[in-house]
Amino acid sequence: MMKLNLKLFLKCLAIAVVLLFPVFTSAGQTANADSLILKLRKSLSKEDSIRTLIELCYSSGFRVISDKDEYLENLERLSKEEKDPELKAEAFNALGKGFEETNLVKANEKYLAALNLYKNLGGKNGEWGYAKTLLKYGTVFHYNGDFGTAIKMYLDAENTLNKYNDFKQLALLYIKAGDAYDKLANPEKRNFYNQKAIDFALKCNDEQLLGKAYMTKAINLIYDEKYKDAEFFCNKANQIALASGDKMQQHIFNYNMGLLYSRRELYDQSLTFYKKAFDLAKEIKAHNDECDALYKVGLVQYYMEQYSIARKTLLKALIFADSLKSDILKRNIYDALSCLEADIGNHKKSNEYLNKYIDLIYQIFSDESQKQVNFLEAKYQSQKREGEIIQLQDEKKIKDLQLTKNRQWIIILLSIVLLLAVISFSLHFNYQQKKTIAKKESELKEQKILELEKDRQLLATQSVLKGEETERSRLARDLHDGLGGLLLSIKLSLSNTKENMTFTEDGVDQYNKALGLLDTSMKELRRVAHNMMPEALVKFGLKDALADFCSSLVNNESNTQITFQSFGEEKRIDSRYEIGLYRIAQELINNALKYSKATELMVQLIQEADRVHLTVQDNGKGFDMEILKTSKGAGIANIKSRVESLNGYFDIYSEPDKGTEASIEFKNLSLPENQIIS
Amino acid sequence: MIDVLIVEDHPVVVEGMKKLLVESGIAKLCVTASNGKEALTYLKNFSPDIVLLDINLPDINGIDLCKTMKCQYPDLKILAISSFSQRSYIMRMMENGAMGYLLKNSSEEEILAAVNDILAGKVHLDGEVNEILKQTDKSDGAPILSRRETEVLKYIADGFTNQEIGDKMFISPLTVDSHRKNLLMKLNARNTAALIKIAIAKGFIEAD
Repeated sequence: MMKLNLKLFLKCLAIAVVLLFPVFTSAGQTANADSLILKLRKSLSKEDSIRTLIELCYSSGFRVISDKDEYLENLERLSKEEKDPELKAEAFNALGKGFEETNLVKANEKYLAALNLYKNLGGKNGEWGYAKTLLKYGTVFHYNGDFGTAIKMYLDAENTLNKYNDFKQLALLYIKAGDAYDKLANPEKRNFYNQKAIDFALKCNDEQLLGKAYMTKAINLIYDEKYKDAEFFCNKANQIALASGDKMQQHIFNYNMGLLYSRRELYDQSLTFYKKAFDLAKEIKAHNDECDALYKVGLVQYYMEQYSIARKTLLKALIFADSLKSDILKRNIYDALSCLEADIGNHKKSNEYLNKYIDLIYQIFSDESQKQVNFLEAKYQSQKREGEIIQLQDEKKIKDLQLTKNRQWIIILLSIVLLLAVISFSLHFNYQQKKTIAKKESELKEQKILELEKDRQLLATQSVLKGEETERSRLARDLHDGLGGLLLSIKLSLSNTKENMTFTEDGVDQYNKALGLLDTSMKELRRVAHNMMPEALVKFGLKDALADFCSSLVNNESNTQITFQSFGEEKRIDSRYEIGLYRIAQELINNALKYSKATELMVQLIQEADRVHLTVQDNGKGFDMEILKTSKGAGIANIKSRVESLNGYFDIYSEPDKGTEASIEFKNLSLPENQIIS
Repeated sequence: MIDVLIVEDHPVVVEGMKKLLVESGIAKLCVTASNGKEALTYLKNFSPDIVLLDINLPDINGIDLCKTMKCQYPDLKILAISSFSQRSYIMRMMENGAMGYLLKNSSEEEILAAVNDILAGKVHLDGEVNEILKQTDKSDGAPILSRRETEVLKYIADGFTNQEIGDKMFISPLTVDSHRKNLLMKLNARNTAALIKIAIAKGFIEAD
């Protein structure tokens, strides 16, 4: 039992926070309803009657008109036929406003239609209208407890209203936004918007709005338990309301005073104020407020422990709320009823009400809406800040223009001088830089010219060598195929005639000797042809050709033992390298055989993917390296130019009596395509 | 009596061969093709007992033709007849399936002996060819290091860098690097450490 009571007590506190439900009227200047009705009786053009009806919807006395539904119907019909989108949208807005308290669904419909029309309209009027409609439409959500959506709409509208300096609408907007945040238990934001509302109300000098802003402030003060200050602001607001005869504001004053005294647990006074509030709301047919005030009366009666009267009042309020389709009022009433039944020991009934209360809470207040609000607020704040920064900048600009007009001249002159200095400096710098660049460029050019010259020479050497090789190749083929073939056929013919001829013994010897000489000539011919251009080199590559060459020298005159070794890959490389290396090897080997008196000669070929290395080493008499510097042996010079023409590396090392070692290496193994040099 | 296909583009040689083979009583039929394409066409409908194949042909070289023929007709007996006496030619021809290699200046007796050997299923290399093949066999021995290479190897074993070795030998560090690479390759070593190990094992340098 204690537990339940505690729970109920906490819940009652919770109600107190969301309890208050102030009502807003339009910020539009309220014309007298009666005079408008009189005007409508005259025969008016279609447009005029629409405008008059719109005005009527916003008029102060509209709530109390008995046949207001008739006027609304009339406006609805006329607006449907209206062609001008702006007027049509205004009519829809007015209809939304008109239905707001009696038929939320219909109000919803009308506002949505108005929003659509403004959106399609575009331009200033479209934008502005859209924002104002958003503000009004947001109020519908506000009324129905969906504060998240309401805030979103208010904030969406705010930017546009700021853009068009619509202070009045902004003041109204801030009052609403403050209230919405209050409902979401965010006092910081509530106070922030309250202050803004008062600021903007003073800015546009609108008493009515100022009264509302004061009232809102008063309510907040009540919640902050600053009852004295609250009463002060309440009275201030009430003075304005009494002066203008605004019954709605007067109702709000009474309602809030009721709240104030109930918070101070002075229930008698509270009840009086609430009853007054109820009467005023009834008078102006503000049904929501009427219902709310009735609920409050019931609540205070409950606090005063007048249970049966309280229950009666609350049930009456519940039926009323149901007819208004106000979830929030129903929720509050269920809550109060649940507490009441619990207090008088009617737990079954209490639980029933409690469940209904919880259902409604879930319906109205999902976590989602809270999240949405936070997100929207963040978005809004950033947008807002941007807007403020721009505004501040603009203001500052104007001030600066006025205050620093004189100083500006000095600044301008100074900047001109500075600019000139900078320009002259940069010109000078530029000039210097250009000079160094030009110098560097000319150096580069010279280097390039040198490189090109070298390339050209290399190419020239290459092409001379290539021409030489081509010629040799042709000669070798001619000798081998032409002359060789002829010699062979001579030999075959002679062999054939041998049987058909009779020789003397001497003759046979002579004949055989001639045949032998013919054989020798053929061999010699093949040797010469092969040396000119070894077919094996073209067909099978360097390794085979070198092996052939070395083996062909086995029975050489100087009796040197020749060893050929090869290592690594046997991939074919560019023929220029192959021919070059072959010729170099030929030259080195022939030289060694001719001059070195070596007993051993080693030839090695090492080939890798991007490298080919040839070494020829003998154990002969060698020579003094100094000789190379003074007398350039033709052979060595030839080798050098060949190696250089192929971008290779050549090294020869010799010592007297210790033999000679020469090595040639080519790297990268990529040569430019041979060009014809004219 | 056998059937012979002679693949040779030189008419005088063809006549000489034909005459020799027919008159000696070995061959009954001598078909001659003057290029590789012709030879392959004949082989489709004609199975000679022996093919005399020249290396120097106008459309394809005899070495490749030999391989093609052997692939298509594995039982074919081929005798290469060439004026090339280079080892590389002989080796490749034999690798590609020829059973004998004759030089064109061979005597009639040699030619007939070669044909008879091959018909009997024996490999025939004439005297000069045999000599050529024998001579070069000895080069496939252990690697020989040049003096410079031995020098570089010693310095490497002593732990000198390319730059230091270059300074000592009056050569550029790049040349030292070339020698180093050559050594790695010749001794089949993966890196310098392995190189030194192998070099010591093979006695190129002495271990301290």
